[in-house]
Amino acid sequence: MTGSERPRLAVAAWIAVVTLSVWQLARTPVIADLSAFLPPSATPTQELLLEQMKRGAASRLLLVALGGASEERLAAASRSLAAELRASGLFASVQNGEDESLRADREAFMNYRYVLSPAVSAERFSAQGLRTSLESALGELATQPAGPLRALLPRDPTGELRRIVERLPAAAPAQREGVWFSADGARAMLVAETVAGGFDALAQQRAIERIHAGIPNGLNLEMSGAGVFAAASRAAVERESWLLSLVSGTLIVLLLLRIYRRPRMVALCFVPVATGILVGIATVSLAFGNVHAITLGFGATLIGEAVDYPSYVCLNAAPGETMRAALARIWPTLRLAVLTTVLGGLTMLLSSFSGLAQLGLLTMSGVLAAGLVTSEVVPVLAGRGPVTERVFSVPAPLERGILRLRAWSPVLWLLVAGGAVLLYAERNRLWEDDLHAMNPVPEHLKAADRELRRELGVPDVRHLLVLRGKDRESALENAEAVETKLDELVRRGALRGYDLATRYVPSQSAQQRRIASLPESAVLRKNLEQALAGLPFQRGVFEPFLRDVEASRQRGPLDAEKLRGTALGIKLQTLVLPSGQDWVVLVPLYGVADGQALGDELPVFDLKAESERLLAGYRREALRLTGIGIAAIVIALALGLRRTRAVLQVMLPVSLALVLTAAVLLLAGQRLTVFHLIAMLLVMGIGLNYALFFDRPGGNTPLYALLVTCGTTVLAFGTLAWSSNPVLHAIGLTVTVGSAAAFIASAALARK
Amino acid sequence: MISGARSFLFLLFICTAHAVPWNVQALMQELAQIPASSTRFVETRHLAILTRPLEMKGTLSYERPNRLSKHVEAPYDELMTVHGDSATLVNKTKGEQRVVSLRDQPAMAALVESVRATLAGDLPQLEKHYRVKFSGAREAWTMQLVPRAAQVKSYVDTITLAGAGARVTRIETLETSGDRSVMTIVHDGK
Repeated sequence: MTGSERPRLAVAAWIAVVTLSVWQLARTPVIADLSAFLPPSATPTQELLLEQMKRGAASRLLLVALGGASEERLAAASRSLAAELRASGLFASVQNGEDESLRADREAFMNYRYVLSPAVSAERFSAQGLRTSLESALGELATQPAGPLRALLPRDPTGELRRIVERLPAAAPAQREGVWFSADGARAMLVAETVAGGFDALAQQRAIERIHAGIPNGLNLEMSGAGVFAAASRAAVERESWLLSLVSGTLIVLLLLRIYRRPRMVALCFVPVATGILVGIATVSLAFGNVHAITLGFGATLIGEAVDYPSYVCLNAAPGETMRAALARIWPTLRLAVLTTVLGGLTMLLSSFSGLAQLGLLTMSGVLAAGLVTSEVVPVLAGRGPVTERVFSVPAPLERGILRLRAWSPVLWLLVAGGAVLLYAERNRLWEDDLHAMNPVPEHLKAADRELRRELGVPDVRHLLVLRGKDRESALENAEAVETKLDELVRRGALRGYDLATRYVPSQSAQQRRIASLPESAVLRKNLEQALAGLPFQRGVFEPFLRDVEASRQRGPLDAEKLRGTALGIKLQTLVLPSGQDWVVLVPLYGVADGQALGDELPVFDLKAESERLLAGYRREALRLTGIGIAAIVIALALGLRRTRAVLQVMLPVSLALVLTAAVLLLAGQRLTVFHLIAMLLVMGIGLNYALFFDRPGGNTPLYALLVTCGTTVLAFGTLAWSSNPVLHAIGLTVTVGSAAAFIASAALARK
Repeated sequence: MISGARSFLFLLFICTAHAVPWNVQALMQELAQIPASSTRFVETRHLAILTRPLEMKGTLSYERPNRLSKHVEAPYDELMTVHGDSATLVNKTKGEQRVVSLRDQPAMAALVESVRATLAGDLPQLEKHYRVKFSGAREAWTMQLVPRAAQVKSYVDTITLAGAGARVTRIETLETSGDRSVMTIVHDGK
């Protein structure tokens, strides 16, 4: 290859890659499934819980509150909204407390009362047993006010329906005007179950829009649920990705214009970064088949890093020097800077979060492309003219100030020591151990959710029993086996209540046992006649009872399929589920007095403890990967610098900066998540650039270039720190603080 | 001295009460002056599914502002106490106790208010649940309540209260099923 062919080839290759990238981008689906940013699971039970969090029936519930009008208007709006939603096909069920929405449940209870009631036994339908029931019914007839239970007596003289209803957890909201209301009567409440999974942000958005469309003007609408979080996060990320990129891009353009005073030069500076973003996203799209909205937002951060590459070259150019000549001097150091950032990205790529892996790949491919474009394409585009006719220099007072930082290095050491002590002292609350903090949901939405859940009587469950079985039936039988124990615990006050799926659908064997204990029609009639002797009931009043018992014998057992679409059916789906090869029954325990003590008696599963374990395991993975990343960076440095002392000299300021950054984050009230840890790697990549350039052998310290690059980094990541998305916020804040700390540490510890 | 002043005010009140025409507002105003009451009752229920009516005896007590209790003493012992939104049912014969919230039981709440809001002299509360038709003279009035809520209407046609002055003497409930119950209230002449 001759000297004149290589530039032309480089430009041709660049144009080809950019074109291909744009083509790939045009057919890339943008996803917003937040589950990509939830940690992967280690045990089958953790997997079950996370799966439930992403797609389970609980994740598909939208909680709706209507306010801002009279009770009558709100009740009417609740009814019409419920009717519209039911007709839309987007919802598996809509519950608002009106009779219509609960009719199916009541019918199921009524029709299957003889297989659902635990009291059903042969003795209960003997002459003696019926006599006892009838005498008791007579007493109740005297006192009970007119109402459904009295009207049901001819069908249900043994009171099975009431027995079933009484055993259900009483968690329904207050009723006004025949629909659910908040306790203060100010808001009508609804619960809608979407067909789509809770983390499917686009489908959830459609469902939410349908709800908005069904509300008359002038009413206040509040909504919550996993779907609302997903849609809100997606909308926020999408909006913010654009806005933040625009803001940081504008700020950086203004800064560079102020410095170069030539638009052409500024445009040149953006060539590598624009190429990097295009190639990065296209690579992610090729590798994953989609691009996450958060990844797009993160692409903006690449600006802060890659926009600096041409700056390092331009700002180091001597007056009259061409771009190519300046590059030849700077490239060995710049190459190392690019490489360390690429290795930082490798750590994210190896992460088991698919979301983080996307960010890692974006960083690696984007930075690599930007580096290559800086070295091969920018000099060609720059042409043969000199980069600059003037000397880029820092205003003298500023330069003196920065150089004086070296005298202050003892202060730096003191600060770092203080930071280290702080980190050690606070090591127990250093890490975020709430799984929900990982889920990028803004705090005000979480608060609204807690409020609506409380109003709707959906208790916050922390303790669960997880009962496994090799199939659905054996899991149900295992659940039935603990009922006596649970009742005993409730009596002892160890827990306030529990929610057992077998109360809605008992195991087939229990149902068959109950069916078998129902007497044949003729026998039952004889028993009833004996029981009625001497009691003041009219003849023939209990014919409906005789018919219903016979119908129950014929109808057979109840299965989950028959409850589809009912409130009960939804509940059942959240409580009985397949898990890998097995089936599990989840039994939420309410009002647990002492989780530890309970754990000694039953295999209690503490969600909070489990979420902490999950995150701890995940943190270990992140720390291990960070370790690998650091090792790779050190090896690259050793290969590039060839001297141990030089490697140490470069690593030292960066390490100090990382300690300082962690301490500052802690002081700012942040608890560290995996996202902070990942951002630390970015800090390392960026900080190493500073240390490398401060420490560049031979030449003078390119202070101006360093100031400008640090400025662009702080602008880009500082903008990101304003994001409401916890992932982007954590990364932005960490890198802003970190790059500033790294700059100061590099200046203070530079040799000259 | 103080009691003398009170009697005077009471007399004054009676006079002014007599001065206004007798209507539901006047009745409610008089009822609203009674801080507490305790009366004996006999209730007879005529139910279609039974060959003979059921008869119960007991006491009915009211205490301002929102406490109502109905104590059935015969043929068995059952006490229902409503205080605010909470209703407690104690069956001594069976040894059972149940607490329910009236908010969750709108039909029951309406039935409770037919008596409680009347004794409280709270017409707005009464009219929230029922259309009120009032007739008769001060010595013998009747007040017919027709439920508003569909849920209550499906079980109860009318509740008719009758009385003399600020005393309710009879409550008759007509159900949609044709069942009927009559509660006769005896005042101790106090």
